[in-house]
Amino acid sequence: MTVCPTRLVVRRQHLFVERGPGDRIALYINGDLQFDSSDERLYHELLVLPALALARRATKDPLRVLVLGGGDGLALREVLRHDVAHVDLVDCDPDVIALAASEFRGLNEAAFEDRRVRVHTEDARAFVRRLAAREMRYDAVVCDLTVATSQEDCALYSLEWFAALREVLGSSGVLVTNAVSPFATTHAFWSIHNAMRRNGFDVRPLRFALPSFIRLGYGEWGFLLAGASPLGDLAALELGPGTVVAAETARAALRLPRSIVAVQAEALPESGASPALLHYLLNPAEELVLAELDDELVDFAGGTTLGSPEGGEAAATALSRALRACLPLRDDEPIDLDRVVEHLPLQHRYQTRAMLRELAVDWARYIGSLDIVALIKAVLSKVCELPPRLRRELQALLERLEAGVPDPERLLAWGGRLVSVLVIVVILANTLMPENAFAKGPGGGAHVSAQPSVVHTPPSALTHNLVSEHQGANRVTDFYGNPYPRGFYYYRPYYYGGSHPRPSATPQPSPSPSPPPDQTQPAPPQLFAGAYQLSADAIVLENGGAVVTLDAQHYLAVASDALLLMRQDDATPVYALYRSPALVAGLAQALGAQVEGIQNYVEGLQMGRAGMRVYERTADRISALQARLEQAQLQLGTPGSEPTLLFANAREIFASVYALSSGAIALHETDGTYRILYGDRLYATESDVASQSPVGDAPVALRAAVRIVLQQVVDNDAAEIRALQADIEETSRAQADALHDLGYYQTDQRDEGPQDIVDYGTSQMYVGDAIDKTLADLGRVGRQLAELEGERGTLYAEHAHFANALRYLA
Amino acid sequence: MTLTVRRLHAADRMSWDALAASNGASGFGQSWAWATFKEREGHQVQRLGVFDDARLVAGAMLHLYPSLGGQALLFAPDGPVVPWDDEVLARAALRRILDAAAELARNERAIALRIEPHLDRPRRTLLREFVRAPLDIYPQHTLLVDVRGDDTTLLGAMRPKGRYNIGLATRRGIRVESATTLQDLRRFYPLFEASARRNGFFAEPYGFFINLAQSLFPEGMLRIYLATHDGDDLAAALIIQFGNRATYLYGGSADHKRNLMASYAVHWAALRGARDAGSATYDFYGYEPYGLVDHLYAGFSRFKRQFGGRAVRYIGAQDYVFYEPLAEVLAQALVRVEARVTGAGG
Repeated sequence: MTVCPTRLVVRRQHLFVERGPGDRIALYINGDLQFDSSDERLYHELLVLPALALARRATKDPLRVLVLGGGDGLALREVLRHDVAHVDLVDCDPDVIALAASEFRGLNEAAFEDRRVRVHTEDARAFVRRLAAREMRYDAVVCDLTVATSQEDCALYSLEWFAALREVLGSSGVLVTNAVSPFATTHAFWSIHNAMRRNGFDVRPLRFALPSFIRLGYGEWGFLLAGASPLGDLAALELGPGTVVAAETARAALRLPRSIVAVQAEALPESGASPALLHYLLNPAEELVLAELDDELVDFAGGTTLGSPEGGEAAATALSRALRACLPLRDDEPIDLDRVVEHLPLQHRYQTRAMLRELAVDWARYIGSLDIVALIKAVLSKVCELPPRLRRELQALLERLEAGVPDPERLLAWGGRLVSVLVIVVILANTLMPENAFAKGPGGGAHVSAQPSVVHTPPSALTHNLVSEHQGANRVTDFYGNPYPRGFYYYRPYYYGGSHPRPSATPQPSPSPSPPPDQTQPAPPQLFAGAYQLSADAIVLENGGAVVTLDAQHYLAVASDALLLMRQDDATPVYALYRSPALVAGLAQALGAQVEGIQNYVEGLQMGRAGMRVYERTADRISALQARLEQAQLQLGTPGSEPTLLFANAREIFASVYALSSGAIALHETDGTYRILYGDRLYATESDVASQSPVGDAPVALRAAVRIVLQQVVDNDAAEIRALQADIEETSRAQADALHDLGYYQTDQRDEGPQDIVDYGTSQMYVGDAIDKTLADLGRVGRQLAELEGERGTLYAEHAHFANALRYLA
Repeated sequence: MTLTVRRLHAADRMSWDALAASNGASGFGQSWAWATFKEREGHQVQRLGVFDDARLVAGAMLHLYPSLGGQALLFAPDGPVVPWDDEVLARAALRRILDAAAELARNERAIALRIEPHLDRPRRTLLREFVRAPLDIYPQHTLLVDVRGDDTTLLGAMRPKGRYNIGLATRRGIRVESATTLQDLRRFYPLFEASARRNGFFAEPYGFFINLAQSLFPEGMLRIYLATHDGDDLAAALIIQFGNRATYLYGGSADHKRNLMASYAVHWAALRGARDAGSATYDFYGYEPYGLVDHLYAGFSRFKRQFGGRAVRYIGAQDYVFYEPLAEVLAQALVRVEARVTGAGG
């Protein structure tokens, strides 16, 4: 399955022969699996035998066959099963051919030693070009080429390529090509199909499951079988004796789910002038990939009704795709970063949408650190043909900025096309480097640069390219059926509109899966078996009940008239609290978003547009989930109105539990009144604490739960303060360095005059300019320092407040 | 001092690797073999050397992943290789590298050069034309263990729990082998994958490791340690060796027999292996030093902490923005957008 892309400089292929138990042998080229001896027969029989059987129908003479790629000799072995007069095999890689004659000789049954075979070690395109000139014609052409991973590779799946192949085929010749997975990369599959279709071939799609490919996450695989003239009915096609492919498998290969077929007309063919294939390979429709299928099947045995879609969008670069998808509709509208993340085209084969969602980068800060004024000037100087309206807009922005560059958030909020386009360009360039997102942290959290402040973990996504093996197991699952180990999620008041102050923005609940599990926590109890992960720390139980995890040992269960503080190990209620409207509203919002997401998903399916892969169990899971979430919504009810908090300066520890400035803890009771928890006693009011007249003992389990959560908050605040402290020290030193340089420049200017040339960074400039730049640097550092110190002040206050409460509780 | 800059050729490989390996602020990301690996992964790498007469004094492996039209980013992981302690030479060399990068950026429409030398904070004023990058290439915080010393010294520098678990693993019959051939990837990957699944990491595909191992094994830069028990592979660590540093880049452990503490045994073997191969430092690669509960690294930092070591925090990735190519990209995009708005095309 190998052929190099045609370029003057041929990129070298790197081979890896993997030996497994027994005689198992596998070939990888540049890391991609080409064949595994455990199941390669299935692949090669299905690739070659139907094509040759069809070619056989057209002529009684021995066949003339061209094999492009396939230097391993395995497709050739299948070709030689037929009555063939001559086979040309063209592969650019002498190393693969050498292996075919040595390591793979047993496997390919010494195919290269057959006298009917002629091997050409050269580029397939060059070979085909030469053939066309010689008016050479074949009965069958078998393309067993590597999957495209670069723009150059795509040429072997293009309109031009199939046009050239048509030239070397006889009038009833048959062509078959290795394609891609119609399931994992549906549009890419149809793009190849359409490139053939547009060249007038009768094209039939083939799909089959190859265990070795599935294991590596390649998905069910696809071929495209094509006839220069109509292929007729394939239902009764005989593959010949002694095949490992059962007749039923071959028949089933011709049937594709309707939802997969439904997107065929959307896929543009690859062509030199209008590249499309690589974009499709890198950007599989997410809804097509995530689910499975139980769709009605379309049978291509009898013929195809699929057309050859004409036209479509013009050539699109990643940037123009991104602009089309992400730019606000109106000029003055600020850009929506969430939208960019959802619609930005992916450009790297390892990058996934989930990774982009994980990035949680403060793009505003980065944009804010660029020299916007210099940039606008450069843009204005760039294009003399800048449309007048655009020129006016940029000049207006420049004038506005002369009064001082605003903080990054405001700059983004101003909108304007320059800033919007800049954001898109910057994010797009950064997505070209996905290595920072791999295996570097739970949830795949990338190294989001943390300057000047602490990284605040966003609710994150668990994503894995491979199909989960744990679906349906006794585990908490998310929307996609991904499992979550339980007991890892902590109560985050800011998800639920609590009053607990946090510097980070409120994360939006999203249908994307969930947060960093922590392997050091104890194993989950069976309590939550079959539960559904709603958000980072909220779960919907099988009965529709909603639960919010507080810590590894406690959770809050939402009842119709109370919040029940529960122990996780034995599901014992510890204390009944007021049904916090903020918590209920937060849960309702998360539920609403999920239900809506599922509705969109199902509607997409019904409209046939999304063309989801849905196996039966997924369909069942979706409808069961929908029912459960709707039940949960009903059960949850309305939040009710927020009561007035009677205490000044109280901070929420968790829903309906507050730390007071006195160090006492206020418990909001189910009847709306408050109890005060102080030491190991409960009091009716704070003044009763002073007069030492308790109403009773505080339950031990209640104190334990509050203490654990408080301890967690206090520890984390302390850690955040340490992190901030390190940032502040660094920033102060940077400030001192800049001040030192400023002093140096000022002395220099005084002694040598403003025309003196000095070093600034790696550049040389007039000392006056260096002073201006240093003053600007100092301004930035000063602002940063003020921000950090402000944040530290807030954290100090919070930490002291909670630490005080913890002290009195203990 | 007249510095010249030119592309490095195969003949320069030895002297380049020697220079990069001896530079304390650099690392494997600047090695020749790492560039080869990344080329197999589809990157383009420009190998730039800065010469003082004929002597190689600085340079950079500039990586670029080709964009699908639009804009790109140049990056120098662990680089550039610059004599940071000699400020005059560093300034001149960095200038040459930036000029060469700027030229490359114009051709490739790269909007910035991202560098990530292992320099202490705060960022020195030599780098003041750079801005903090939105993403780091490698973790900014890491944990370094000094491996110079005999076993007793190394164990003595660990936390008691670390020492205890290493002993426990040995007593329970965990054996660790060092794999040196590509065939052992078949044993490494399932462990890596199991961990990724368990912890919700994004996991590189198997092919990534084939390319990695094919590029680095022949150079002696890669070691894979496998901990086994009764024929079961239980834990693995993939270590990159460059200069006097061994970096724990990837690892994993099985879902079963976790009480045997195989992960401790693997790192203990890797620490000693690093020492025996001449490394001074074992880099745990990614660490959360403050104890933040919510931090992405919180879980595995607790594990790494047991081996002792010193937490470091570098300046992180820094971007040198190329305003000309950026303006070019923006101008063209804006014209296209304007044309679409006014209906003149798209």
